[in-house]
Amino acid sequence: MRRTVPMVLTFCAGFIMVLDGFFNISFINGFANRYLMRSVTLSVAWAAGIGALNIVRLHVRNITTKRTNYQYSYILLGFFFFMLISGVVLERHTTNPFYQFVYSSFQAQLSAAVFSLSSFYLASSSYRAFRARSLEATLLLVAAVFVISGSVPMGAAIWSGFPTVSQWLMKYINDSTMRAFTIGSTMGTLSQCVRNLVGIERGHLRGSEGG
Amino acid sequence: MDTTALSDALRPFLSSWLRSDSNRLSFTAFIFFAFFITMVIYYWRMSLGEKPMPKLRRIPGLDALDESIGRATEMGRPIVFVPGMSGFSAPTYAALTIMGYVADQVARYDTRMIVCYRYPEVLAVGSSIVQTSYLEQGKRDAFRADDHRFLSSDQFGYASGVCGILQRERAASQHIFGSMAAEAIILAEVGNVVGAIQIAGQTGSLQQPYLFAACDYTLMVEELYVASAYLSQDRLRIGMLAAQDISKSVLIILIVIGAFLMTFGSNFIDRILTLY
Repeated sequence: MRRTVPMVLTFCAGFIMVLDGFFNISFINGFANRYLMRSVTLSVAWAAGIGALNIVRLHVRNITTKRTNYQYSYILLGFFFFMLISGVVLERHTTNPFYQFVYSSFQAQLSAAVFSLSSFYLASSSYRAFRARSLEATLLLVAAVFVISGSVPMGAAIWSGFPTVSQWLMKYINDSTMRAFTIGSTMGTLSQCVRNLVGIERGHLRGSEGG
Repeated sequence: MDTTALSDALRPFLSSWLRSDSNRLSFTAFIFFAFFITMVIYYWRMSLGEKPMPKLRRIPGLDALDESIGRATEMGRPIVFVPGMSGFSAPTYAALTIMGYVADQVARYDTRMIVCYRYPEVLAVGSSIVQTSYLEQGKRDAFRADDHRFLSSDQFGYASGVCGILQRERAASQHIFGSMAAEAIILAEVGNVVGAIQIAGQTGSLQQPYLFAACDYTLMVEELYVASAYLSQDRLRIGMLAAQDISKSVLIILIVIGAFLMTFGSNFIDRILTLY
């Protein structure tokens, strides 16, 4: 029963969305937009509370049991409640200039700092990938030499053909491979959705069996 | 053949019941969807009979799941599982299916698995799946709720949280499945720094090269969706994959014919596909 009800709900909601996607049926189109889409928003909003509880519970337990590096949990909880309370209490809530200042000075900057690390990680992973250990790796290395050389001014200064070869590799070899990935991914997504819809795929419902 | 006349003739009939689309692909999408569903029904019926089902080829990335769990068990270090960067979407469902398989194994061998979530709704479902695995093994008390962590909905806040866990816990294995974006390379490289065996599978084409470069095993895009059939060897699920492959073959044939005709100056396939 605990598994059947979610499966029936999934089928009904999914079937209505499929009908809404393809057909002009005013009742179905209205129901999908007015109720189903809103119910997704409501569910996600409700789940935010679960996330907040999970964070607070984990870090309070870190502090009370004095786990390794528990001091950082004070900082996390401090900022968590500071942002939560100021977002609720301050006038204009999350659009308040003070709230915006704290958000853009801490969160946005730290986020940008982490993102900037990806360029270094790209270099280190490329270094490992471009070692000619096999025929495939050698082909990758040769292609990479042409693409990298064609993308920087120094490459064109060494040989004027580098940019042309680079563009050819990107336009024909790279693009067609990426499109093959996209077609495969889209077909896989369609298949996964149909499996979920008709209840063949039930991996996500395993939790419904437990006590 | 004059496809404009055909399009004009079909338009009044189709517009009464079929939604229109600015790319004029509605009718094609509907026909293709109907074809796919027909294939699904055909293979569904076939899976109920005795006829042999198509064989699945070996997928090293999925075979390596047991190896990575065994390694973590032997080293006494945890597995870090990343179920993707999106909420409930097709890649997340596929990731949760794989997580269920890994959870069965970690519950059996008493290996620790830390799951890092970006969305709380996935946390609620994911932790229930793992808890069920422990219950099925009769190890209710061994389930650690603290190992299911909602880190942040912010993309790079989440990435830095996973990196911190990888380094502090000295993870033996990292499993990255689901939908990934720019943080994929960060997670994979940090996993590499801590010496974790890494298996990744995601659906976006852009992140695929990074994972190939940084991980030990990488599933090729749609192989992520094959996991449930591959791990269970269930006839019905294998049948669904066959339906998917037949439909994809039709697309490939259309692309080849379209490219061939286009080379000789005819855009017939293009015009047929964009009737309405």
